Amino acid sequence: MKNSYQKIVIAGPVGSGKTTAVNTMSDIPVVGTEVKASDETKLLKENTTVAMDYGTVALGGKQKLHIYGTPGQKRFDFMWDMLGENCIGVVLLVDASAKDFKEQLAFFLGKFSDLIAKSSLAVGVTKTDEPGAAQFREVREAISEEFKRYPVFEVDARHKPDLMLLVEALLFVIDPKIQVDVSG
Amino acid sequence: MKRAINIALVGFNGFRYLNNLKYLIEKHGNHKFNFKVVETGAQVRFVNADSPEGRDHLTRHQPSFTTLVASEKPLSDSQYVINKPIKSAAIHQLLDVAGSAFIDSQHAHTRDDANTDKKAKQNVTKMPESFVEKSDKSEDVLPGGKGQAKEELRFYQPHDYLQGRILQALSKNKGSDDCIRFIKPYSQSELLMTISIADGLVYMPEGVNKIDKFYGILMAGTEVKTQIVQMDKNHKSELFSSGCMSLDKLIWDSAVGASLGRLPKSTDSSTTIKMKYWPNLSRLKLRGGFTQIAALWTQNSYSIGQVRDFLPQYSQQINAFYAAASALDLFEGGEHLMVTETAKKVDKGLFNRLFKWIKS
Ligand SMILES: Nc1nc2c(ncn2[C@@H]2O[C@H](COP(=O)(O)OP(=O)(O)OP(=O)(O)O)[C@@H](O)[C@H]2O)c(=O)[nH]1
Ligand SMILES: [Mg+2]
Repeated sequence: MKNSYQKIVIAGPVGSGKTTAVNTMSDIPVVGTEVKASDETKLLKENTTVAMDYGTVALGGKQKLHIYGTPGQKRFDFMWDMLGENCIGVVLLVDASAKDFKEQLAFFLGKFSDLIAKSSLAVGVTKTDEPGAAQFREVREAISEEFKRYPVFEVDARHKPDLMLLVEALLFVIDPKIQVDVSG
Repeated sequence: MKRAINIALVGFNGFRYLNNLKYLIEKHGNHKFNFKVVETGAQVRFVNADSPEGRDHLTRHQPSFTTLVASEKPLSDSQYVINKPIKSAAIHQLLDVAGSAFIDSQHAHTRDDANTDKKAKQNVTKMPESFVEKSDKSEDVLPGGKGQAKEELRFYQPHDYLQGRILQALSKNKGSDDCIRFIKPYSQSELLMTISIADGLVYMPEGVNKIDKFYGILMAGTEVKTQIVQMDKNHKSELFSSGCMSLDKLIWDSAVGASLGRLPKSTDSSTTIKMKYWPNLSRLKLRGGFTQIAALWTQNSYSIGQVRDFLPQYSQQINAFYAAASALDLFEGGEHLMVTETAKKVDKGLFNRLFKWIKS
């Protein structure tokens, strides 16, 4: 069926909250591929995603939204290209408590720039509440000029309203003049 | 025993006015109402639709048995709206309907709204003429929205509110390493908040949730004392460690709270402007339509008037958004910017379903 298959891609570095975000948004338990972390990731966290997280939301009328969380480790970046088809937009999560958040931002915005140009983007800055984390405005200021027109919000990946606001903003960027009708 | 229902008045100002209403409300016989000066703890609100506060309130709440409305112009045919001048019979009728609905809602959560509505409406239309208060006191209580009142509904003077006082103190101390202490309005020494300019953080001794009530208070002619204090690094990091508000949030929220759907005085609605970047909406005071308004002004240049044309249903929210975003200095002139229509073709059905999911 035309347009019945639509997705949102959640991208970002290791530990930025992608798996958590997919879980928070999805109707169904997330089909994940988490394993105990080995190599350099182990220093950061216990579990890491090796293939991708997958969740869905029933939108009514047979339409489904598919949510994909990409693995954060760079050695899985071949998987990122597969996610571009029928993509509504990219939600990029950035961890404000990571020392190298600037490099991470630049890296992911670069990697996903083609997909963003074809779809939309919303940036969620997570873990600003962690001790020693960068201030939200430092993270926002680290985003390069060409992406300044996209929404950047402070979020907690465990908090649904935060994620919904990101998705809402991402949609409005695609068509800011849309006359929304949620009655039907 | 009759349980009292707490009722707050929104946007009714003036001593005599309030006392008259209080008298009318407490004189009501069928349900017991406790009169509240502030909204805290109120179960029912009685809203003056012709005041800035009331208009703002109605952008967030539909008339219902918990939101009773008095309006100059007929707003809707809801039985929870009465027309001005307020007549004692009409207000008692309103309190009857609302009181019963309120009690019902406490008893049973599932109620046949349609039926109650119909019954209530019949009651209202059956009101005998003789009940109508003819005294001109009611006119006096609720002045007709002419001339100055209209102006007051469209524009406000930021300096008359906390918003303006904060911005003024900040502009006097730009780039400073010092902190600014604000003393509570109408107080000699009680601390309202301390702002660390360089860190962009605000400490509030009573916690960040208590500041809200100061945003909408009209302070024209009132002094709000400020003091500049120097703090060493340790003292600062201790004071501004956790539980602080970001300065951006204070500025934004205080502007929304002061605007109440009005534009800052002498704003030109025809100049084309654009936003430099998105405000951090997830942590700021939100009003219906803010996300879409932000999208419009970050993707292209528009005048306030143009944004109003796209989203006529949000005209007050557009004003509040503009007030807050301009207080944060988010706008830049847009004359030189290209106005191109870049919107992608979207599947409207899918988008409406997505928005429905978001709002669910
Ligand atoms: N303190 C804090 N914790 C958060 C926030 N958002 C998410 N978390 C937590 O941070 C951790 C993030 O882990 P994941 O969701 O597994 O991160 P991921 O992006 O999937 O990581 P990889 O799969 O390894 O790439 C979880 O324990 C979350 O509960 C936040 O805003 N603040
Ligand atoms: Mg993961």
